[in-house]
Amino acid sequence: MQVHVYNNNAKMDQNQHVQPAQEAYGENQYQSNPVTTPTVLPTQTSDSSLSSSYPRQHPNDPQLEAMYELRQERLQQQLNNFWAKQCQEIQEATDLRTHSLPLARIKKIMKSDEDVKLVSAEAPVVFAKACEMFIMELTLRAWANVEEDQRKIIKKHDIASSISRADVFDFLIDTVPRPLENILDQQGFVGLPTSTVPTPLNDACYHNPPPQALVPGNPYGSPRIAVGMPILDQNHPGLQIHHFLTPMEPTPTPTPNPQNPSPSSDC
Amino acid sequence: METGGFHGYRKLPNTTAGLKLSVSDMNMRQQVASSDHSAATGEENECTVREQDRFMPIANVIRIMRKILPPHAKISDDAKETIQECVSEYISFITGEANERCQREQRKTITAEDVLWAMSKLGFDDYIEPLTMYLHRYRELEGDRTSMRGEPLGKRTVEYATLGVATAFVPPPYHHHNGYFGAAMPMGTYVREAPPNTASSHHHHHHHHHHARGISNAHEPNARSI
Repeated sequence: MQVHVYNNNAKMDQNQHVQPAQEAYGENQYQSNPVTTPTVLPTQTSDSSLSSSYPRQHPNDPQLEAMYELRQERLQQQLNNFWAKQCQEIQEATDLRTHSLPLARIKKIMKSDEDVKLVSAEAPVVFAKACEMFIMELTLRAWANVEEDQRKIIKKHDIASSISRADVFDFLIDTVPRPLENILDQQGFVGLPTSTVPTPLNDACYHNPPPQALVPGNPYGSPRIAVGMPILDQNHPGLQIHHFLTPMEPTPTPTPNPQNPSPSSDC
Repeated sequence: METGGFHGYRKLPNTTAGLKLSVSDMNMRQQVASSDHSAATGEENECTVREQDRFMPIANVIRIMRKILPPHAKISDDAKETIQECVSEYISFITGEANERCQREQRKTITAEDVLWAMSKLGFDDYIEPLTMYLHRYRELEGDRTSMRGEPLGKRTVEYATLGVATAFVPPPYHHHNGYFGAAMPMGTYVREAPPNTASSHHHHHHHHHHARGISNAHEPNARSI
């Protein structure tokens, strides 16, 4: 009756090798940074976007390449700890009725696409947990970027930089475009070729328009942004309602949110 | 909200499990009311999205961010807003892929399985295992609530049939990632026959989880026959 997807099992099993001993991930993880257990290999999964960036990093400078690989290895270990911690928390959770994000809001965003007809009751529930993990993953990646620069404030370019380092986040290229001045500041940035993620147009059929703008591999960051411009032009008419606030690269988004005083409201 | 530690009792003893179910049942009733209200609101504002409804509440987003950050970390306002936009984009991105699958299979309702399938297809493989566990555990409580309560509403019955929670309905066949869907339904039906989470352990290797699912799956036919 039950069919086992062995490929996914092997892939997911490799990401669960770490058994975190810390109770509070946020605090113990960073306090015990020097004592992290070296149980994770830098190239753990072939699908890991971090692994694919190794060969293209500073081919002429072995020292900088080693530093970059060390940072990527540390980030990958933190991510593995994060995912193992998520599974543990879900396993031990006793209250699955309190969601960290409002289900009604999730449903509205889902149905903002007019092609979406009906949404089952459990889909926003799954999304609530998925978005919580998504926020934490982005925050963890951005914080790794902050630590590289020995700062303590997460800024927008930290998120943009961490997004640009993983193929899986290419759908956010329009949402968080990279400012040009930050490209120069990022020493270790190298554009990653997109091979699996299509262009983030919900209205368009993902299979019809091949992501030609993203197919060519860019060894340098500046050409990648140049290649990204056609996507911005495509999205300029605003086919998707969420691109309304981000038509151009600078995105000062004033979002008045009166529901701030009511956190974690399930409506 | 979720500290990650134990909440005064464990899952294994039956007495504490009963207590947990009682608490969960009360929370579930509140959740049902909330869900109904959510459905009504969704129906009314189907084609209009207000400004404030475009993003997740900033307070929720900040609280989630702080869960993963050290105490001395600070978050700039533009970073908070950027995460807000990324989350909405993420929901739309996954929903678009899930909806395409529904249309190909001539279905109208996006299910939790469609969401999981879309995430796997779009490269979010790390999310599949924790979300599958989450959905299983959510349905364990859901199944207990359904069996204790009377006949659900008609619309919800249809949705439950699609999700495979109600054993009287036959869910439509899925052609992709049957492993996830095959694991979901037997687990849901299994829990109603036996104590919850008896086969689970604290090991987080995915292979072990599959072994646990195998046990549950094997146990189900015997329970049905008896």
